Amino acid sequence: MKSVMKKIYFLTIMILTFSCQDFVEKQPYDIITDATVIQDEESAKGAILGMYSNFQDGNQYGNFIIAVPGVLSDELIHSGSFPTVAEMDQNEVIPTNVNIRNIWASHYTGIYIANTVLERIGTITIDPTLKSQLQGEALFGRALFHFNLANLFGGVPLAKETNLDVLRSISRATLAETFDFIISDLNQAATLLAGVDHGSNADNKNRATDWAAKALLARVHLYKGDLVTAGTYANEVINSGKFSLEANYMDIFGGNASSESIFQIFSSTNDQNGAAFWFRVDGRYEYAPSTEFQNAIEAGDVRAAVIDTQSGKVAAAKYVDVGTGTDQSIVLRLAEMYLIRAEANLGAIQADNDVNTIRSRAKLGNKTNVTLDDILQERFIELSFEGHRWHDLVRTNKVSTVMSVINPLTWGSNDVLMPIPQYEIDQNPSLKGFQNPGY
Amino acid sequence: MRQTLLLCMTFFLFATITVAQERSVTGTVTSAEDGTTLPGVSVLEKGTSNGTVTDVNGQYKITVTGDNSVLLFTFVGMATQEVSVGSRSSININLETDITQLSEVVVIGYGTVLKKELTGSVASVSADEIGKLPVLSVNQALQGQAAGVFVTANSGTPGGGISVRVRGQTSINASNDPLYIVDGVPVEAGNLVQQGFGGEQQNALAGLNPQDIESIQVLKDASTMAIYGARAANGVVLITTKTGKSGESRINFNTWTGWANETGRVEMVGSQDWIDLQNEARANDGLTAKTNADWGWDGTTNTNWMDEIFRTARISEHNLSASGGSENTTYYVSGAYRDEEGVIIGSGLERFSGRINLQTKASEKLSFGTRIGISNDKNSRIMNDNNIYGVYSASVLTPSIKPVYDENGNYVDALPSFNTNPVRSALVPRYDISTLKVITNLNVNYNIFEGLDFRSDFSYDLTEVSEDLYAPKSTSRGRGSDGLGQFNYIRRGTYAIEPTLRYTKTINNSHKINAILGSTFQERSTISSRVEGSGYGRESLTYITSAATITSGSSNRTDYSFNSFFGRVNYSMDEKYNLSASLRRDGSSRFGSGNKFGTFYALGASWIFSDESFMSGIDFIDLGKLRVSYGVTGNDQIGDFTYIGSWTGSANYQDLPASAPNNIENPNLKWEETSALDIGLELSLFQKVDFELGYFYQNTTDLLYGRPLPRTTGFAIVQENLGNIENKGLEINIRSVNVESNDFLWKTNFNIAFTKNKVLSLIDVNDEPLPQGFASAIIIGEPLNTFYGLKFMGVDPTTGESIFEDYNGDGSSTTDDNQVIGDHNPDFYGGFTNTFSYKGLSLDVFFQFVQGVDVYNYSQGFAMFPGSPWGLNTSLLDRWQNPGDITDIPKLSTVRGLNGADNSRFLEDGSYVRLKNIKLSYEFPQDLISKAKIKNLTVYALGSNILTFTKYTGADPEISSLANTSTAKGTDFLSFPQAKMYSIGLNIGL
Repeated sequence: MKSVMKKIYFLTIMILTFSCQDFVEKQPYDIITDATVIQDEESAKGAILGMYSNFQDGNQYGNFIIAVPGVLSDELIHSGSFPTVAEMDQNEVIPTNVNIRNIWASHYTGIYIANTVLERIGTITIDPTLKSQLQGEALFGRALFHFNLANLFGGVPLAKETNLDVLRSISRATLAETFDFIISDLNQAATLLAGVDHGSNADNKNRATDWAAKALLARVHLYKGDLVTAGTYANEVINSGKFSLEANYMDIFGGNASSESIFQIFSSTNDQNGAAFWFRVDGRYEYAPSTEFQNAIEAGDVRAAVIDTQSGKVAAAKYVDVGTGTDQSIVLRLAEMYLIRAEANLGAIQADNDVNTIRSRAKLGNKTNVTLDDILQERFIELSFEGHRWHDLVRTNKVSTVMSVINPLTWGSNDVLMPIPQYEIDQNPSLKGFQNPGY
Repeated sequence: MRQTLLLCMTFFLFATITVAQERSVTGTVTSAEDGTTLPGVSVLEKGTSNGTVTDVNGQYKITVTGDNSVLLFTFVGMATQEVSVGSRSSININLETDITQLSEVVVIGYGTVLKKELTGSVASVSADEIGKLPVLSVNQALQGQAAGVFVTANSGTPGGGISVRVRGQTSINASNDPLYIVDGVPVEAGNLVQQGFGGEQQNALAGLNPQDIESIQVLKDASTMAIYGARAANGVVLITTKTGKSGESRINFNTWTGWANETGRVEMVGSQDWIDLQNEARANDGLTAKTNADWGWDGTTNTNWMDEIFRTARISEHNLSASGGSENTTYYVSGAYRDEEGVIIGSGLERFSGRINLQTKASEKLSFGTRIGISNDKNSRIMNDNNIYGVYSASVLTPSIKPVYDENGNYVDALPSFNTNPVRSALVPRYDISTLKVITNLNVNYNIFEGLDFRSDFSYDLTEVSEDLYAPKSTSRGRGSDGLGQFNYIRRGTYAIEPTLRYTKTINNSHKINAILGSTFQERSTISSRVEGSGYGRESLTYITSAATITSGSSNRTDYSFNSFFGRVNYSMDEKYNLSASLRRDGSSRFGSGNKFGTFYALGASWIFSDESFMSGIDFIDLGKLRVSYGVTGNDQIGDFTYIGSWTGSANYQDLPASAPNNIENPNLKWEETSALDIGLELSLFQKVDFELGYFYQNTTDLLYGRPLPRTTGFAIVQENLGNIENKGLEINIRSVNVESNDFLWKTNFNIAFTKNKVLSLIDVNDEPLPQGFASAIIIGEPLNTFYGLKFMGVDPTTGESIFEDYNGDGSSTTDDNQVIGDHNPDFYGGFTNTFSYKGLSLDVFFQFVQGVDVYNYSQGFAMFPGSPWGLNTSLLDRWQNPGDITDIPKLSTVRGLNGADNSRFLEDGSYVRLKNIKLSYEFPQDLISKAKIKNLTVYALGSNILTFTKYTGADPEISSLANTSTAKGTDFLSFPQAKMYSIGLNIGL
């Protein structure tokens, strides 16, 4: 009996104890878990590449961030079929506009990746130089994402961490706070990226460098209205000797890493850029150069090549590779620095010189005593289809004058800002009541 | 003197009587059903404890005391017989099957229980009932057989997916399939085919031959299900395969062959009508008519595509089995082959299956057994459903103006835009799916001491699917890539070890305790791969070894593990009061770290009120039972790693691999939970009728759903447990023997369930309808599978325009007027079987019915718009043409307008009554065949699905293109209909 009881005890215990916690802990294969996404140098590099990859999205430099400022303004007209783009063309964007919602979403995904790098990089074993570099790149990315959002929406929620509970109820910052945050990130990035060399010429343009940070700082200060600081940064970039204007204007674009380019988004046949598909007749042809733009091109201007005619239709020609998508989207280039320095030095000879540097590259005659309008005109043509026009009009308070002529029936002063996507307001209680005026 | 004589005589008499009292009685006990001897029958002298058991030859010997003794013969599943011994010394008994099932044993989780002592709701289907149906798989055999179990076929594809729902749908994103256990082995129920075939999918149980099944029990309420814990919320289907019986061996051979055609089809117009309708639409819109040449018609071609693709299919099946055993070992061995052509050309299925079940008693205390079932089936599939490369779909879409072949005998690209040819799509590509299925179980039973047994089950379920797919460049699917070849492979194996301790004790003959304690270790591993190649030099090169470019390839692996501890106690007092309690603690690798283990429990009670003294006068009630149960079960089919925060490694930049965020973590992610209440009344009356009435209420909470997040978080949704669905209903089950005379028997089996489903809550933002599928939506307060669209009010006789209800009252009809227009939930459903037998002849008639489902006939809807180049439906011939016409078909136009929006014009009543099975069989009399040493010879003729009564105008009211969703069922979008079959067969038993 005793031995039987022993057997029973043994069996019972055997049955009872095997409620094993370890047995039901399984790790997935081939899924990078949140815990392991940044665990060493290789994975940290992979995460930063993921951040850059996010810029390639069709809601960013793969299309909309370069096209929307054109459609909203007098640079592009809607020649396609999407009603959401038609809304932009008529400056009648509604809060449920799906494209606007996706632009917002795509940027915040990129910010999330940048914040993941910034939070985790301190926890791994990593070469200190590489660490500074990756931090600098993440800060640059975070700043650029927020900047692109601010230019469309005004003050936006500033995402500084990855904590879900914080982010799901985050409030909007003011425009000033947003700019301060962006500037702070870029200043840090410039410091951390000082002297960083990514390797090849192309690599140094596809990834953030301290010059990219400074060039962006020039633009940010310009948009903020701080012309002096903007001019200082532009000057520093021009005088660095790292970049030179392309002799042939159209050589800047396409699949190269032009000498003029400071920061551009990578593309290849394996990793195609969809932008061309939206501009070209053999693609969607969703937008076309406006008559105002065509009329603004001066006779003899080499830059008339930015538009061409395909199958009898006028199309933008900066992104042309529909089949294999190898056009690289330019974010920052030297020509813009000249024009920023010119604007910063309005009234001085420097302004004339800088404008004329750009004009002579375009095989146009010189101008003297350049005015703000001259600079805006130059920017209109020089930086066409690169996502500048709307922002230039808005920051110089010329947007109402221009757009009330283009869209007399639908233009209203509230159209200066895009609506915060309705979906965001619905899901985030902190945004309720903070929609942009007029929506 | 007289007194003494009297005393002596009395004494002498007494002595004689005393001597005469001790008598030996012998005899043989046989089964009345098939004449086999029955070992193990209990023979008891009534009123005493004197008893014995029949031996391996069915023979017994018992010593009785007196001529007035009565012998009781009892055996499981047989009606107890009482015989007065009288003066006989040899009594042979023929035991009848217990019609009223009072002593029926019911298989429940981890054991069996007497039906009398059951506190829960279990639906049983027996081998007889399954054996009569010529179905491919066991889940088809459940249709219409069990109250509360709603079975629908997704389409008529041989081996295609079958949907089984026990007491309604509980989930939106997790699986709604019940847990299938075959001989204690948890068996894969999902679709493993990687290439999409629309809603048709694959039936994971097709590998299990229904002829090998002894019984199916569907556990429906908490007290029976909760012992399966986190896998049980959708019900548990327990399948037990056949075992041998000690005694003489039985060999059985069954063969049948049949002819099948489709149950219905969509009627399309002929060429002249097509041209006329198209031109009329143009005329109505002010456009000029196009000539025959413009339309691409040669003036004579009139291809009936339906005729081209449908055929009379041949189906046949052969089953051979042998069973028997000695005192200690029993065996059941079987082998079967089934060859099933599909009713559409180019489709068909071939299955080989075999089984060996062995059980042996190694010693007094130790017994063990093994069950191994293996099957291999090859399914030649065709593309279908919502797919332009489909055969049936293209046949609806292709107008009759194009021929099948051109003058050179080559296939014509008949369907405009997509360039498909339905006949070529059926015959030329190769889509062969081979499935190997192995279900095996080893059980070891050790009797520790009286009443206490240790039993352990070791089981393994393996499914291996290889998909060999090739579309040559002559087909439209293969054209763009110069021939498209794919090879997909998946191997899923689950092993489980379940040690248990089982204890049975009867105290004082009135308190019966049955307890079990056990644990489960289960691990599942899935490994899969796919490779695709393009660029084939010639049509005869069809494998990827010949492809010029490997366009993509990948492989992957996921694992899942499951661990539990459980216990159950069944207590029965005086065979009148029964209580059961079960508890189970489940841990699953699918649950987040915050909720790794869940606890599930149930309590049940039943009362045999017919045994109470106050019922003693009421004789016609043989058994009356009231039962109630309440418990909590879970559903862990939520995706293997949904709780993990994850990134993908598939982003890239500078042609280097990069990581991007994928899924936000939810460490608290857990199972969906269902609490269920069951109340029932069971009556057995007049020794002829079994009646069961049950009510259930189930509340499912913690539904897995993606809660939308603001994008500032970096993510769109977080998978959470939110959401609440309710299911309730009434089930009625009646079995009766209506007439039982000398040679004539008439039995009826009727089941019906009334069910209601309602989504109580989901995400609390706005309560807006969440669109699903084509015209379905999830709406709070409505059932799942609700249809949402415009309400069609008819055609204006003056203008011929459609009128839609202005639901929001804004003065105009737009898509803002969408409202609830119907749903695909039955008001009631069930089955009705009648069996008549007269001498050797027997007729079995089985009707299955469903009432109250709406079906969105999108197949027809798609073919009602001239202006597109597709085929047109014959219903258009009744269109409105002149003012004053009263019709439901609006004026023809090339512009769809609101007619093309989701609206109730295409929503039809899908209720039906179907003659599912009718079987006429003749069993040759024993005396005739026993000379040839044959024990059983039966011939039969069978018709299945031969009559369908329905108002539905589409091909088949049962099918569903989006059957793999829980929210958009009942949408018929080019799904192909089921088959009706006539067959003849023969059964020989040796």
